[in-house]
Amino acid sequence: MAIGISYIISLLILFGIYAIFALGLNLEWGFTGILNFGHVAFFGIGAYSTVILNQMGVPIYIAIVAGIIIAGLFGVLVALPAMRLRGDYFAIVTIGFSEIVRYFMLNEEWLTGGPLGLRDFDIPLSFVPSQYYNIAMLILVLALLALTYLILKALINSPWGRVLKSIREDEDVSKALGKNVFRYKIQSIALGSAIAGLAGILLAFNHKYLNPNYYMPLITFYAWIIVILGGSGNNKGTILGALIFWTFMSLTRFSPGYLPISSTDLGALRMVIIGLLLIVLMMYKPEGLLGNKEELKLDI
Amino acid sequence: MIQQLIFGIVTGSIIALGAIGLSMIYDILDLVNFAHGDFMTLGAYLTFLFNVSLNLNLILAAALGIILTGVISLILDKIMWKKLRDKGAGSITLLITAIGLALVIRNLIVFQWGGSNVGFDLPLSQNLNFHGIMISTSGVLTVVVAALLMIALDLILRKTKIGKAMRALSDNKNLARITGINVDNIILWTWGIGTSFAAVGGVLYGLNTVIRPDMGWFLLLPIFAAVILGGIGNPYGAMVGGLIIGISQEMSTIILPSSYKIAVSFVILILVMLIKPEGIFGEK
Amino acid sequence: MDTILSVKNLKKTFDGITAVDGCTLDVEKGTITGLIGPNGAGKTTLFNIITGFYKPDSGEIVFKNKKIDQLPTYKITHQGLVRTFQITKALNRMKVIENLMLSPKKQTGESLIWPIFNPKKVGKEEEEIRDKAMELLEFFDLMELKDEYAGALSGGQKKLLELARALMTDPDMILLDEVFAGVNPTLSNKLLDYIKELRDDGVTFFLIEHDIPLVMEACQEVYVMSEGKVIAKGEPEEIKNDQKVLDAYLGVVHEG
Ligand SMILES: Nc1ncnc2c1ncn2[C@@H]1O[C@H](COP(=O)(O)OP(=O)(O)OP(=O)(O)O)[C@@H](O)[C@H]1O
Ligand SMILES: [Mg+2]
Repeated sequence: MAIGISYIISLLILFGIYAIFALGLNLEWGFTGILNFGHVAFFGIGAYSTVILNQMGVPIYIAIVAGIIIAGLFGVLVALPAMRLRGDYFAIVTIGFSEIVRYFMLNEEWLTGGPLGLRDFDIPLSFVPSQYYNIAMLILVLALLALTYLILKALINSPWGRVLKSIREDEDVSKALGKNVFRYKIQSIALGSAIAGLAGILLAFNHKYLNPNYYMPLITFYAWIIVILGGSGNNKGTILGALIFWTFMSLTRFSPGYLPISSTDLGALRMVIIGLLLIVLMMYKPEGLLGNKEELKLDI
Repeated sequence: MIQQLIFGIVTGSIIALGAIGLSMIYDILDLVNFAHGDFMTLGAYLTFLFNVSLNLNLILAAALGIILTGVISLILDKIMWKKLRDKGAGSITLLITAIGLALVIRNLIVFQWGGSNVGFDLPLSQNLNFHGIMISTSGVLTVVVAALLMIALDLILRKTKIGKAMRALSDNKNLARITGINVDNIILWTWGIGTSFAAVGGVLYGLNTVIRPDMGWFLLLPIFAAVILGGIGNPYGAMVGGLIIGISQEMSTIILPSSYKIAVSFVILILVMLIKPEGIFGEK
Repeated sequence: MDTILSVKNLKKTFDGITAVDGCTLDVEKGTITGLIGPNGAGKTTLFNIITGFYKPDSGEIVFKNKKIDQLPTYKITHQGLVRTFQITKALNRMKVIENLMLSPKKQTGESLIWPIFNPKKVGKEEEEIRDKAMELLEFFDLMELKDEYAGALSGGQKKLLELARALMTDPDMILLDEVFAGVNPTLSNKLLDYIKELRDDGVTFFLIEHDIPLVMEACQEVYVMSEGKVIAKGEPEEIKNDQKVLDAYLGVVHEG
């Protein structure tokens, strides 16, 4: 029983972290129409920046804020040149950027620890007795998820969010109505990347360890699946999508004992199912589970 | 220097074989096929299946593996892509579907053959040594096969009816539809040629190094670079682009750690997109 | 009379096709000026260049005594010059009311900061913008559709939405690209009356239109374009009887 509960807690922590991560992507894709396929880069940049700064002596809470800001700034750095490109080119450039970031983490040992990654850094909530640590972590993650959701909600429903949506629909209209489309896209990416950075930092705390392998392009696709599952442009849907996704991931991770199948095979099978799910969603329900069919049939 | 150049030409030939199909599919189907690299992997593994598991001789096994990969792409067109086209799915829907397909193919391969490296059953590859410059027989074979296939493709495009129709469609989509070119037919040929070329590339990659489930994924990024460099929809551009990317990747190892090879192709890609997005041969 | 918009020697070529070929014209402030010409004459392209969607190959555009030919579109709109699109561009997955509320310039809530830190002020502004949008919806008979997605509107309704959206920016001058096409005659008359009313308030209209009687009725002055050039200019009556214009419409190639 005790194992069951701690298992559920760790599942919920991952759910919360990936929900935050995917909310960042949903801001970019679901509300602005930006095809970011390198989202994982900012996940990693946030985590590495915070940890490296902390190891250099910066107090952890300041390092967290700095990590979030650095992730956002890198979003701007990529978007400034790449935003001029067509959507499909932008997708390719961002996925390439995320791979370059990963190669950098792998190779620049002096800074990133290379393939062995980084450990030994301060963790927030360290005052919590260790048997309650996971619960405290969960509360922190869920609180930050709620905060992210509420901030995004306020923004999406504001005139700012209205401009983003108009860009998603047809940026020529936004321009004709006097909106500086480029600036809004940059802002959207900056905020989306900062949110990804926050999620990455939380993941680093959860694992107490950083490793370049956490930042494979696959992780970006996780976020895409979560967003599409819940319905692009729907933050509640994204959170639901994250819950479904991680429930599925951990159910299949939990079962080796019960199924006559090795864990590599199970992992592969899990990804086959996720791939199939993506295909089926795109073919038969592109508006996602919570998406409004009326709303989506008009596009993509 | 010359050694790297030779490696570059071999790598470039493989990239070019992948780039040709990706470029044609990109253009004719409006599909950014993120699963293209995984078709290369699939070609290599199917060949491995016939060659090692079923004990066929390598050439026969490769022929079967390559054809089967092409056939699979045709079946997928029937059960997936055509349905999406008929629904009028946009290019982003197609792109995301392709990512799903990539995950399926790659992980089915892991499921079937495991995650570790495998290799073909072949006599130890000889290294030819010219005054200190090494060329492996598989390297020579790669370049020869790639060159022959490119010549064949050129003949198809210029001399056959279907090839001319392909070029017409690529030049002007609307005009081609009006003039009654059978678009469905062209799409099937595009898949067939594009994926079997990719499969050949995958097999050659396996000959030169090893076969791994993620090999196609790691080839995909340089292939994208080659396609954009050569101009989308321009198979000749894709060939040249592939060689340029392959050679630059290998040459870069003279000054950079070799793990940055792929980063090099990416820097080239980004520069091309920003400076001349229609590709080096494209006209504005 | 004051010239509000002045176009000089504008040229634009698309791979080999010269769409606008040395176009020169002036639009007087507070008028409804027409722009007619056969299909493919370059009218829409001219609008695209004026509003910064394309950069001209050469030539000059002056709006309210300010050179605007190098400005990006959104800055041109901020100067008070706004356009509608021939092929309507509704923001499909946004409500009709949101389409309109998007338009006003310099909204406080359009920054990333104020919606979070000063929601009161943003909310108050939203109320004002909403009221204005409601007035226009009322006028254009779109009130009942206000919470529909714009993508669900009919072609004619989308035209109206587009015009209403442009008006929401409070422009000094509006370029209308075939805004009457597909709108039913009753509404179209009402629309014209409304445009005249706005004109009397000082707003300038420059409109592309294929419906010649409508142009005759609405415009003080009409320009005729053909093959990228202005081939005639004058009062509607003069234009009607101009041989060059008739030829252009009949497809006779003209020299000079
Ligand atoms: N983006 C573009 N690329 C290439 N050619 C273009 C482009 N835009 C316009 N053209 C060409 O420029 C010419 C003028 O087109 P334009 O749309 O301005 O005509 P128009 O006078 O508005 O015609 P209509 O009355 O049919 O709307 C046409 O030959 C058109 O094909
Ligand atoms: Mg027009």
